[in-house]
Amino acid sequence: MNSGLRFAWQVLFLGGVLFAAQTAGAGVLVQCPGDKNGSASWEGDEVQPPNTKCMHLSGGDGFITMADGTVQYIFGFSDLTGLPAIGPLGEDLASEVLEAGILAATFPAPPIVLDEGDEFYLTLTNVGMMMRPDLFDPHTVHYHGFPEAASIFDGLPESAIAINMGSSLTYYYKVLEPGTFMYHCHAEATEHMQTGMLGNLYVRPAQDGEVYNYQGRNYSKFAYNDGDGPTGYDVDYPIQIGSFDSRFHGASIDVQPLPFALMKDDYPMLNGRGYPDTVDPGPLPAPGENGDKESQLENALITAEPGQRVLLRISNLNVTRFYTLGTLGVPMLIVGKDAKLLRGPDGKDLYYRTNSVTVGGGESIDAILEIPPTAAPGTRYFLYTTNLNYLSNNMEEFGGMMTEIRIN
Amino acid sequence: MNKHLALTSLRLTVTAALFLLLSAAGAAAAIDGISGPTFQLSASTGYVSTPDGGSYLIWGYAAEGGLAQYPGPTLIVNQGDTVRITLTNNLSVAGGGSAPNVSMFFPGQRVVVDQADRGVAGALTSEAVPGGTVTYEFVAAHPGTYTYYSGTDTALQMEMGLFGALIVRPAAGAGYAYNHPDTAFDREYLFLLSEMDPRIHQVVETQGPGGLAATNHLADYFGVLWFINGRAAPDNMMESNHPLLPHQPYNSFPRMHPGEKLLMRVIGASRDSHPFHHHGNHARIIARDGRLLESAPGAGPDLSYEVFTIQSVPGSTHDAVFTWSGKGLNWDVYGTPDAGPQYQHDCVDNDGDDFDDTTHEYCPDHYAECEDNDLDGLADDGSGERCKNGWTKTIPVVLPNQGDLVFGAWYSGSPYLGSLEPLPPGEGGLNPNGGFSFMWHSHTEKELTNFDIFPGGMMTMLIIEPHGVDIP
Amino acid sequence: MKRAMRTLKENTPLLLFWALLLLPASSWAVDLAAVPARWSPPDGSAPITMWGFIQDTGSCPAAPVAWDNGPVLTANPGASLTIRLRNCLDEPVSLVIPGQAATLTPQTFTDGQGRARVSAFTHEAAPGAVATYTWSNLRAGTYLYQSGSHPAKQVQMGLYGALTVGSAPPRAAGTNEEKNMYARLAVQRIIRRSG
Repeated sequence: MNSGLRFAWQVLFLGGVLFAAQTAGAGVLVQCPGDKNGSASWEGDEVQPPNTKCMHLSGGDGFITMADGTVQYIFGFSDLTGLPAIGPLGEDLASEVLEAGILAATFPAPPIVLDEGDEFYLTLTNVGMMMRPDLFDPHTVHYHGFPEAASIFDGLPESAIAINMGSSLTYYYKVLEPGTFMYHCHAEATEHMQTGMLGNLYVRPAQDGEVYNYQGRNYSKFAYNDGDGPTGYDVDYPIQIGSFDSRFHGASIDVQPLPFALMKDDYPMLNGRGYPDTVDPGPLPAPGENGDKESQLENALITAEPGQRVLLRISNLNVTRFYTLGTLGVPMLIVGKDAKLLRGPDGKDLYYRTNSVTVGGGESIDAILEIPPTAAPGTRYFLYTTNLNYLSNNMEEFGGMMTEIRIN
Repeated sequence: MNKHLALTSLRLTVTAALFLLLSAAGAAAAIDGISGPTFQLSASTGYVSTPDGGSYLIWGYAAEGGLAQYPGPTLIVNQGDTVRITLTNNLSVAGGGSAPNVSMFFPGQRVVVDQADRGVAGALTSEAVPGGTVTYEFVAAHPGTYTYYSGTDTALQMEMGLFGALIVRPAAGAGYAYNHPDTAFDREYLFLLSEMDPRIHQVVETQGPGGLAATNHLADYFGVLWFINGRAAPDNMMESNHPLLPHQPYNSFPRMHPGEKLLMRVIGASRDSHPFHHHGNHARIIARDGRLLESAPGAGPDLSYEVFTIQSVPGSTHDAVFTWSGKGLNWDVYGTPDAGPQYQHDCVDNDGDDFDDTTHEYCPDHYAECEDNDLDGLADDGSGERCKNGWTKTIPVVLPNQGDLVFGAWYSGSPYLGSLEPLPPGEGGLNPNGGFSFMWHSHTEKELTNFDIFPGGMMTMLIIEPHGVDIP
Repeated sequence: MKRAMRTLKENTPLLLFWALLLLPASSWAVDLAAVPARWSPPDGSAPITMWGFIQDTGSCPAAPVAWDNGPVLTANPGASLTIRLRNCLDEPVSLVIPGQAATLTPQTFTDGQGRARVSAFTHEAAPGAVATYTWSNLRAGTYLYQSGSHPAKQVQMGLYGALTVGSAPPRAAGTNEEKNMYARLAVQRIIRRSG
């Protein structure tokens, strides 16, 4: 970016205007109202406008560790929010930003948590694939399930645009509806999704903060604007079903033809980990292969108190099959599907109780666990795939798509 | 992976679709099929073509005088019709063995076999022997979307292609899916989902079905080809009855205008489940397996629910209503004057439903003049509206330079509905009316391939054309 | 009941139903055993080694039995169910019923990386021993009971059966209820095929 343009940006940011120049220069450009230094956040004298959220994600590659100890190559997003793209003297920090994103991919991608009615600005910077310098893949963010979408921000490269290496694209959404969504890269979808550009995304309803009494308890957090409380919960957990084909990831880093036709996942996961890593409450140790960056920051451990209602925001972003998740010891009350309250058009409740849900790719389910008030502290229940062979990390047993529900 | 080569072939193969869009001729019925209530069908052999250059033997049902097709003819009848289908078995096999019996099975219908032409008894239904016939009869008592397939050695014969759709139109008439006003639609499209394991077709082609006994392909099934209405992408986006695909007459290329109701008839026609994800908006599932989701007869679809991914399981049918308007985008979908004089437009809402009476633009998102003298990005009138370049409801971000972007084949060059902007040579081109395009596809992304080649498989594009574009 | 004595397979459900009828309506008790079994595929291939649930006879069978789904258990809603499980296998087994509320006592081990891992969802019967499992306030419906130990292996080996809560047991052979019971056996076979 030439120094003249840089000055113009500085003036405009200081003046509080988002931008005026029609031509965005090549390179890192973070757009966020009220943010002057390109950090997609508000510090110091920067003022966050009401009902506005910003994020800055990188799209690139990285490494994670599977539960059996195998290190796996991935593509993915990482969270660059908070990193200034413009220094205190107006200097261009694009190379610092790009370096922070290189090999920093996390799995799953950073969670996106929004509120109904937000204006959401997400800047995606394509930092390139360090381990594959022969690739010049673009990236996108697809906001899976967002209603009334426009092609330009849908993140589907075939219908509009995708961002090249070394540059940024800012998406804008007025967040219309609450619920459990998900997001992923849609550029070369089969490849980029198999390799891990997947994340949780959910939207809290406008009803949050109001108090409704449901079955003798008061709730102020809800999955949806139910108007009477049945989607009230005490604690919520996003749980994203995913799975990897280790041969595909191996072919990717080995610069081999990618085995699309033979794709068959052998590492089933919840929130980017196989059991027992799913119940490890901390980040997993950084693999040395990515320069010691922690790359698995989410876990799938569910904890609750007796008598609580636990909302599980379940989504599935694997690319090869359906999975069935079951609970043992406590049933699920299904109150939402695909980011919609399960209620008919004239208000008939369609909730149902079950101990298993079958979820295909691109589907989401809101399930409430009603922990009995009599549950003793130390009680454990389970959330696990009833496709029992997937209780494994490749060849390793007692693993895979399983987590624990621990009662304090 | 660098997929520019794949994009080029994509463009070449959908050239025919462009001709369809530019000319108003070639009007095809929204659901291609044949009308009854009496049908003379046969089962015979043919070949399907896949975009990776594959050619596979199929066994398919054929309309009278027609070729074996994949899928079989979509049978369209009216509620109350006595449907009568005579099936002639014209199958032949390699390897010197005799051709198998063949039949038709109609889940959801009460079928009787004409005793005067009853074929031979099979495990599930009556069958036609090679060279012989069998005649089925049923009263299409319930409207809806149904499927049919061979009841003979179904594991093999369905894989080979002996399946199809049955549509029963309600007594309420055209434009309704069922006998209730809440099932009204403006356009309808069939999404018949299937897959193939080519090994099975190759063994049958070279050795006959007996050759499968030495394999476990049917049990150890491994699909590598996926189809919507019998064609893998991008072939499904060419027009129906394309001369290059004589055994695959149906296409899948949904188009609509903002505000219209599009009825999706989704059929899980072979052995796998597919999560069918439609970008753009939710759809409301109003019926399953030919039955409205209603709490009591006549209540209408009061137990319907909305999804963004339809869980299509084998043998199931779903009816779902999709609509789109861009309501709530918070920027003017047709553009703002600062982007160019061609973007000036009005939003006229005389009937008070918040939408333009002609274009169905959502008027609360229509632009207005504003002043921002204090340069805070908001209109000075205190409305809280963003104000940029003197206008509200502008797109609140600056899009990157063209040099930083990869363009989709369906990109118009403009973020706004109904407009085109210049693109580098060779870019875009499949969206001559500047519509908004959304991919409708299986969300098992492995299925977006044609035998190891991405992109392809079980995907198509919905185009939301601006008002005024004729959609046959 | 002469007809019902013909084979163990046909015999078991009827005996169970009669046995259950004799108990007070509010609590049901069943003695099961996890035993080695064999299943002969209908295409004539070599018999396949299985593990199955059968009604406990008081001691372990001397030889592998002909495998079938576990006996259909039945109870009334709101009742409690106690199952005593004799383990005739050489590794620990257990019983879980997904969908019925239970207090679980998971069994864990420490893996090579020092992480605790659950190997069984609840307490187990050691080889040769008997363990007791109780569920109270049963919910109505159709359920699966299966081993909760190393389930990826043991359920695949055949350790599952059906529990129906809410239909009354048949009162006499040859009635419609018996036909319903055989329909339930057909359901079991469907369960087996998909299990």
